[in-house]
Amino acid sequence: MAGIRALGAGLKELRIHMCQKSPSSQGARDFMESFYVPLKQRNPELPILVRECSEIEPRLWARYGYGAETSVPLSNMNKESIMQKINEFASGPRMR
Amino acid sequence: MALRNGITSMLRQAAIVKQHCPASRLSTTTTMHLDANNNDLATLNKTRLDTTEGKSLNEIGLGPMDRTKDFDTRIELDVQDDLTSFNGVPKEHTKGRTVRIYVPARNQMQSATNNSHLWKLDFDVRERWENPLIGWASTGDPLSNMQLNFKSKESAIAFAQKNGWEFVVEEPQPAWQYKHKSYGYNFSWNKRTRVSTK
Amino acid sequence: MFHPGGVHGARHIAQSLHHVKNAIRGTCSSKLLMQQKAAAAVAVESKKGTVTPPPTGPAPTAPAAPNSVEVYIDDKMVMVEPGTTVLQAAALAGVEIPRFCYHDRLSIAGNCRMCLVEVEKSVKPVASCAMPVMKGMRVKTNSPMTRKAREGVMEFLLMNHPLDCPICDQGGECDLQDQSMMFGSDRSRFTDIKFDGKRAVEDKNIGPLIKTIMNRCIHCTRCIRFGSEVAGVDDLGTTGRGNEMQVGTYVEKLFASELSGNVIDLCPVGALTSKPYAFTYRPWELRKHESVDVMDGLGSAILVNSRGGEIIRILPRVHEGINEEWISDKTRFVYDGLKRQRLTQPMLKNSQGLLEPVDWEDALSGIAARINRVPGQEMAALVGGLCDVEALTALKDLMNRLGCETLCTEESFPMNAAGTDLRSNYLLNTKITGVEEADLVLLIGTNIRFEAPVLNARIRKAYLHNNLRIASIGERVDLRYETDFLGDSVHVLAQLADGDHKYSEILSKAKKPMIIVGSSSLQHGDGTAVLANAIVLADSLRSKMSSNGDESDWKVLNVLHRHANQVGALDLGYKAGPSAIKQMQPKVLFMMGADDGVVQRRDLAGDAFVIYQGHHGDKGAEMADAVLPGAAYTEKYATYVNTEGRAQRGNVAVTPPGMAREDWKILRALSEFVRGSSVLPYDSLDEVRKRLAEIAPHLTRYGQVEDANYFRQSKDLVWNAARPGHSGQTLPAQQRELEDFYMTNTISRASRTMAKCVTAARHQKSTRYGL
Repeated sequence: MAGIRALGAGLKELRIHMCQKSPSSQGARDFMESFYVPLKQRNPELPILVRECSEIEPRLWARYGYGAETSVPLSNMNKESIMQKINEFASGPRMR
Repeated sequence: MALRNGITSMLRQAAIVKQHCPASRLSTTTTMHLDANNNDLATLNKTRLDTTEGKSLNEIGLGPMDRTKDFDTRIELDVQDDLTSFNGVPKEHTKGRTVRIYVPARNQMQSATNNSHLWKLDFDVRERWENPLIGWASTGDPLSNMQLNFKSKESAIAFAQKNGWEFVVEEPQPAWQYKHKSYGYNFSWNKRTRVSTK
Repeated sequence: MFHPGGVHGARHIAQSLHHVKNAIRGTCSSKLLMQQKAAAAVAVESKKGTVTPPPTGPAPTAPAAPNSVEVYIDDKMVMVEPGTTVLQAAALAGVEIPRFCYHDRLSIAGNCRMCLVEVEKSVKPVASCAMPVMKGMRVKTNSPMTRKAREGVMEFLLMNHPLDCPICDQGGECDLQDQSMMFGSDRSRFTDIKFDGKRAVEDKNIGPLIKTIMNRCIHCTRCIRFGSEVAGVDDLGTTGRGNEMQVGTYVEKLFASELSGNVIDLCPVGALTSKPYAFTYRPWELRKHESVDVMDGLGSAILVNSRGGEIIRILPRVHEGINEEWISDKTRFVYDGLKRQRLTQPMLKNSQGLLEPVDWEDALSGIAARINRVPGQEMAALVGGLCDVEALTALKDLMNRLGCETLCTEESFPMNAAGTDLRSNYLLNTKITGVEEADLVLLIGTNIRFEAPVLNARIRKAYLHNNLRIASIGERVDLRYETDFLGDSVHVLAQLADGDHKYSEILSKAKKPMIIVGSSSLQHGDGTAVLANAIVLADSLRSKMSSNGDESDWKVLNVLHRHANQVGALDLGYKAGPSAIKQMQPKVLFMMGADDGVVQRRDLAGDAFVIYQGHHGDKGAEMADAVLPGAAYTEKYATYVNTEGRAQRGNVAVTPPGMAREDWKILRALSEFVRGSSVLPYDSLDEVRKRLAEIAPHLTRYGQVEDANYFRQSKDLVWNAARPGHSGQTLPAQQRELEDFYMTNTISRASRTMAKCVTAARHQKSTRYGL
């Protein structure tokens, strides 16, 4: 699929927070159904922690070396834009 | 008594009611007080009560020595109750303490549940040690024995908020759940509930 | 608004004066005062006749079945399911009937007769614990006949009961004491003391945990029923009958159950009391602290009693979702291990190679000096199973800021495929209560009896009442219920996953199958194969269920962890297993509570600097160059995540001894000393918990289990990779016998009581009656 690539060693950990049921996390849930497996297969050493919790705002967190972290809310985003965000995050921490 | 005097003195000025002897207040109230238009004064005074709500003493023609039994002269303020400035608790025990609001667990050694029908407010635990003099428990924490009981979660929370403490509410477990039991299961032929001991 | 409530004359005037004074003083809290007074007035009125309902959660209700039966308890009508006993119907109506032998979680015995109540149109009083209700039954729980019955029963019970209250441990929390005060008569008619006197019975020796004074036994048979039904060991029984009846093991035998301490709670009198705590306390002088247990992965709800600065005992709390009312012996009696072998001072190795006590500042600056010399890539951290989530977060944040990515847990978990990305891979997904709904449980590589005794009790409960079928793969162990033993190696599991085994048919017919993979089987060699095959098998069973039209959310795969905070560490993103550390040979190793000895000196670089932070001096502190004393689970405000993924808070009962501090605070202080911008951004517990929510939001949802999904994704990743091969060796159970149960972690290894239990279990094994 387009957009799924090896994300590079700068990214140390990805965390995806989502709700199991609410509509704003639908994009995140679709992402998990479609893109998670190929992404993990391209990046077997990268921890992509998926943490579900009810009634939260879905968020994507990226952790880089030396403790730098960025995050972005994923409410009402579709799965392609989530994938795009991950690819953006892979390039390095930037103030967002 | 002074209240009635106060009212009746006003009403006397308005010539609505005649002189009324204070001593007869103690008699049974078979007399009904009427004004010139035969309106029951009790009803009239009640209407008067409704119209005096929220007014100051001066506005309704009463002086500071008049009893205001039937008049509500207080006003409501829309402010969060905050007792921290005068409740006597030092700042380090207001800012730094966290309070737990919970329903105490039943004592497991007994079957009785009366002690778990209330809400408790409890402080975070600080150091206690054995005093070398007699062996009693010493502590540097003045709130170490402070345990307050409340009838409802809301009153406990309101209390904690008024006193400025950070609070944590722990929801209780459900009170008791019905389980289907039957004495006959002890003697079943083919179920595992057949009792092997008596 | 203050409305006078009625005509009450002088008192009313006095009240109004009081309010006037308040009004003049201008206290604006008087509105709430009014409300509270009004509430108090209502409460006073309601005390007259009715019972105030408990202010706890949802009020007890019977399931409103369509064929509900109406019953009148003290003229109050309740609609109950047919088959409810009178005692349960009264409980639903808010009336508690006194009882000795009846217990909610045991079978009905009906032998104490204290629950007798009068039922209209019945000549005799009726044993409410056993009598099922009938339509239109009118029950009087406070009539003269009922009261006479209770006084009579109490009189009989007290006739043979010794006058031991001053020396009895149960005094102050004794059912017999309280019920004789409330329901018994005020004077005794017992004159036989001048003739034959009271019955005397020998004390029985049933182990180092339970002290028996059988004179006090009232023969309620609760302990017998517990042993037989809940624990599954039929050791206790009755001998003789009538006045000569004795409760005991008949031959001198250990009450060989890992749940044996619960009979101490069950016994309504002081016949069975706790031997380690004997004669040390009275219940009214103890303070109660509610907390969470860390001896196994379940996170049982406990109540820690303390007096002064010392823990006196640990009792269970009721938690329907985890431990019902039971706790294991390790949980109950391990508290004395918290007082021995404690680390109380920070220590640094001096030039002679000996650990010497230093103060905090020297310790932290000494450690920071060594850390600052080493780049992040040559550092590693190893955590044990008793650490709390706050400390784990602080350690991970600190290490990450230093550039270290190798943070491992001592306990391994297969990290291939999805690994610990998806929570559904490593949680007990059907939850502990799922055992009661399941109709088939497949246990893989776990001796669940000793790894999670309370869960085993629940499986046994489902085995007795719900006809649960249990199959097991792994070393053959005695679980105290019948299991279908399928085999002892991964080979069997692989066959089941492929559908090639004889048992596959039974598995596929199950409507709600549960597969429980024990974490002990995931430790060595075949662990990857075990989990992969379990995932595949679970997926095939799930798809069979949905093809049969089952749309429910039932999850088949479960993993049972043995350590209290393994799930917490995996949730935070720790790598599972020390293999990463052994590969990289770090120059600095930070061990937090790591006492299982999985990493030795030889696995590290030659001049490695080892820092140990923990609460007991065990294997970890032995190999350390710097020791930082931390707090144990009863001494800190901590979060623990149990094997279901439920985050729970533990509370402080006593403060840590000596110079020991809370673990996250030590790491926060250390962060001030180390290089770079490593200072951790939190200063208070609330801020740490906010950080926890940033990493995984369920960590601050205390008491709730969050569903984890994406089983199919996990299976796809495992399936697409080559299915790992296996060696066909036996999946070893790490705790085989009762003697292996008692000393499994650093606190229980330090406990004298646990040592006595091990001795007693070994001794019992060597006798002719065995265990």
